[in-house]
Amino acid sequence: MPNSGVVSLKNVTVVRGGETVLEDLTLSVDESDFLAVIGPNGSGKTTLLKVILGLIEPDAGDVWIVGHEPKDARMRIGYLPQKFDFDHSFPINVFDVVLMGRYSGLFHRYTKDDRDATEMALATVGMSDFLDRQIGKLSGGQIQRVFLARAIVKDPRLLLLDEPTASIDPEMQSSFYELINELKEKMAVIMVTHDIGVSSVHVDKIACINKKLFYHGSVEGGLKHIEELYECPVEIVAHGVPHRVMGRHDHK
Amino acid sequence: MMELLQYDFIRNALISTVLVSIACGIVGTYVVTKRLVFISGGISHAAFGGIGLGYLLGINPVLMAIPYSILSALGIGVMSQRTNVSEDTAIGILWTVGMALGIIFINLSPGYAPDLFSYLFGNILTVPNFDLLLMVLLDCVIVGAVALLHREFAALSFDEEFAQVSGVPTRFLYLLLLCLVALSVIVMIRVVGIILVIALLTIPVAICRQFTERLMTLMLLSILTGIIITLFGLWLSYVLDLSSGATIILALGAAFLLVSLFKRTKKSSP
Ligand SMILES: Nc1ncnc2c1ncn2[C@@H]1O[C@H](COP(=O)(O)OP(=O)(O)O)[C@@H](O)[C@H]1O
Ligand SMILES: [Mg+2]
Repeated sequence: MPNSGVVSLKNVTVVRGGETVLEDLTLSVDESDFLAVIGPNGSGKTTLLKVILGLIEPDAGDVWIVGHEPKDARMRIGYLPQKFDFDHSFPINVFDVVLMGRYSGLFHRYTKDDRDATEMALATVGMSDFLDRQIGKLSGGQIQRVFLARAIVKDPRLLLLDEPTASIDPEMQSSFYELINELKEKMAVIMVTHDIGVSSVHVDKIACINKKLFYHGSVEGGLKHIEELYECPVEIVAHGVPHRVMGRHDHK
Repeated sequence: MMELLQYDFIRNALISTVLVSIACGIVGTYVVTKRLVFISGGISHAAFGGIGLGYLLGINPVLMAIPYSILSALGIGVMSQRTNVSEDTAIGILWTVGMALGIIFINLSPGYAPDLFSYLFGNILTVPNFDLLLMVLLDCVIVGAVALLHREFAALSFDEEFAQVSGVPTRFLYLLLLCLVALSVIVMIRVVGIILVIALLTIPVAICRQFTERLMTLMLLSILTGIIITLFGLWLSYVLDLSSGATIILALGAAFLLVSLFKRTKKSSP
């Protein structure tokens, strides 16, 4: 039966290429939650988001998104992917990229409402001055904002952010978090991040995963588990971005 | 020039130039922006199997090539979506198997194949009326499909994953796009031949994308560019008495080189 809440995962297991990527994961997100998902590289965070989006079918378990199957709930989910692997010379401008987020079905033309919503979303992310700019002629942080606008342009109930701050400089990061802080008033947010230091200031709950769910609850209670989570796989952690997770933690 | 127009073959050549340029401008825009160049090469060469089958069965080879190339387009698409075969391997297999089948079919056909060469390298001066009609029809299908589905094709080409998340039926549309490539190949076979199809699909778009940042403008510009340069190549082949398909391609290549050099010198000396 569909559960209440925006996201409800029950005993979800995902196997990819013979390897268990997510194991027996149970997780729920309510109407106005801001949940940070934390875990080392390869722990299945992106996979979790793709399960929520219905891009990956779980091998076991149930997923309900606003009371629907993931595929039927897509219209209500905004998604900011981890990697923007698009062709930077693609002939499209910022406005049209965001307008694509308003797609509503075969043969539906984009309406004036869609255009207005696009302008609003671009204003929200502070990119109104770049409507006509070809998408590749923007900085990394600006592209990030445009894609965020594309994610929120249809007023989703749920916003999924996959490591949104990994590729932007610290100054842009704090304004990015302010932006997310405004957005979370209007929609539930799930953010995958390594940057616990900053994120814990804003988030309501955290989920620590590494294949399995290690912790799901308030931020304060989670800090102990983050230590646990990052302690064993130090090598894995040290390879990638999240040096700073160790750093911050050591200082405490 | 006016008296030239009285000849049927010149008139047909001019009409086919326009028809070919329409197909190439529209489909080529997706081929270039979604990076389907290699896959289109596979589809066009596989179509040779259809040409051969046409000879064998005594059916108009171009007509026979339609279902054949659509099936190979779907074959390549499904093989790369559903199985463990990587896409370029699937393309390589269908590319060569299609060519080989074509040769075997022609071997088996009674008599010999007089205009086989023209299917491989094209001859814009010998496009028959029936094939012209076929080209009009296929152009209509291509224009119609893109008029109805350009939003979806744009989303698919720009960011396939996000398109899927937005509810665009990406699998179906990808296969449909490959079918449109197959149809545009058929439109071009008579004019430039199977071997040179890729040039006409890619070069006009490659030239024009240096001048525009909008997909629709790119299509229209590419159609115009295709018409102008193809006519120029046609004229050149007439004057120099050279093979029309190859001369057209060389004209396209030269135009691309000139435009790119011009753009670069402009960039480096602002
Ligand atoms: N397409 C795929 N096929 C097989 N395994 C995959 C695929 N994508 C990811 N994986 C594996 O799934 C695991 C989790 O990946 P991912 O969810 O991207 O981790 P994270 O986002 O936490 O870094 C990794 O071990 C990765 O190797
Ligand atoms: Mg990830």
